[in-house]
Amino acid sequence: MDAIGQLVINSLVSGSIYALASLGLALSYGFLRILNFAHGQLMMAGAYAFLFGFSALNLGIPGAGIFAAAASAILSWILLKAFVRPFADCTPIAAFVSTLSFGIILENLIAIVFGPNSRAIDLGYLPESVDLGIGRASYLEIIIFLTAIGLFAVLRIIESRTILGVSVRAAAEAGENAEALGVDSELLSGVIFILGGLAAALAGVFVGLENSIGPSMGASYTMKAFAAIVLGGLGSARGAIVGSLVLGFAENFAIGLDLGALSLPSGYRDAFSSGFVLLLLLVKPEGFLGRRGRAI
Amino acid sequence: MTAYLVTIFVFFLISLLLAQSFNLAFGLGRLFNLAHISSYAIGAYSAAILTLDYGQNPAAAVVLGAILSAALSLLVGGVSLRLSDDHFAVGTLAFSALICAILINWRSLTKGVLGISGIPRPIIWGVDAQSDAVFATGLSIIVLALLWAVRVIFSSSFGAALKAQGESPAALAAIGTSSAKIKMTALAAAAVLASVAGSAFAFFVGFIDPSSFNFAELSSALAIVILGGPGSFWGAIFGAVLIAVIPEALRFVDIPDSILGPGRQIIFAMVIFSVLLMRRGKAFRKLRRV
Repeated sequence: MDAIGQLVINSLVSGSIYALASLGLALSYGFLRILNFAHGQLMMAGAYAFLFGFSALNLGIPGAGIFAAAASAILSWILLKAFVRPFADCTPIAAFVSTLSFGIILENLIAIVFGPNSRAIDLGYLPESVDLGIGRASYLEIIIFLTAIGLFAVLRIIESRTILGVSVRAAAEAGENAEALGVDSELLSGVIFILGGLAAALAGVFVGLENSIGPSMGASYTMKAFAAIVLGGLGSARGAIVGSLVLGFAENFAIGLDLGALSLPSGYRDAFSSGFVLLLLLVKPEGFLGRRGRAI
Repeated sequence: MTAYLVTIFVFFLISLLLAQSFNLAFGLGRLFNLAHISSYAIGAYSAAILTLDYGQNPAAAVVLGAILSAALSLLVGGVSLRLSDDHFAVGTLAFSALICAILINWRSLTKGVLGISGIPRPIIWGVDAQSDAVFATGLSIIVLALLWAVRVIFSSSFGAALKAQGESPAALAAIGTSSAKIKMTALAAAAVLASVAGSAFAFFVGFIDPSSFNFAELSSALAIVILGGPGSFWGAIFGAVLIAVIPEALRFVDIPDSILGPGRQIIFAMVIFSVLLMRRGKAFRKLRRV
């Protein structure tokens, strides 16, 4: 029973990280109908920016956080302005290819600057853990979980209570009509991209604190984020969080549960999301993000 | 110097074949099949495993690899072709990630990340391809023959139908032609060509590991196809020449190896992006919905 309890905790932690990682992908797809193949690389670059700010520039945790946030905001902006916007009138393939190329550039630049090997972000604290009754969790893991919950609560409020939320929904639902009524969809897409980029960077930092980060981690997280939004059933933040939790649980239980000969080797952990995507597309080929107008 | 040029030439032939196969599915048919690199991987691993572990002769290994690749591409197609463009790309990306994970984890067959070394150069019809020059000559003949086949496909009625389903699926349906069959055939043909390219790579280098077949490796093929103009047979050849020559120029500048590899990738990605940006109005204009 203890083992199961621990798996539940681990699943919640992975699910929270995936939720942060997939938020931007869900938002940008919900709003722009663009599948961003560089999303995982954005996350990776954010984590490296934090690492650089903390270890090389000695900015401390808050300073490194601000540095990483600024870097991810700029990268998200470049991605949107130079790699997504120019292809708005093209077939979706053009934007796939261009975001892919952005991801390749980012990944290899980081590999040149920081080296190809994985490394952990070490803040100098020993990870203390507390007993939660069903298993143990470190303070970091509790923070990760609470951050994810908090962020989605904030998004929920933005969606229903603010002009921003209403405009996003209007633009996603009615596009040109909303623009005619004064909704600046250009600005909104910028806000959405940057918001998603920041959440992804945060997820990247958490991955670095929990495990390690490497220049090539991006692709597998892009896949996980795709899996989460496929699972979530909607191009929405709500769908992304549900999908992320399901993915977190499925991954941890498939790898962690001792099923004897049927146990999945841990090496397949990252492949799990790919298998999941395929299975879902097989069952539901009409696609995952059926409805338009659920941008948040 | 001659040895160096021969090596470059062999890699050029391999990348040309891979790119031209990608050009068939993606360029002509608009099938953005990200699992294309998996066919290349299967060709390479089949060549290595079937000759080393199962004592097959190299020609049989290449053919079996091609059949396996074609079969897998039909599986990919069966799952993914029912999907829209967006989902097709995601589905095929998932396939390629899955194949990559299998290459890494099925250690008893693929030796995992350590890779397979000591793949012997083939002896086909009594010709020993031990020397690079003989290998290059033999491969030239095979690649030329396959390229001729691609050329025939491009200018055939099948090629026209493939192009039509990419540009206007509704128009094709209106004249009573099934686009599913055309797309499946294109995917399978592309997979066979990519598989042969992969086998050639394994035989030439003598060592393969999963890192040679991850997604980034598709970027050179993508760069070649985009550079030459998607769907253009001669364009892809021109693109392949440029993509073979540009990174080699880097070799003469004094750059450490740790930067050379990523540097090449960055160049490919920049080429892809800038050409895409310049040609976006022509090659990728939005289709009129009927």
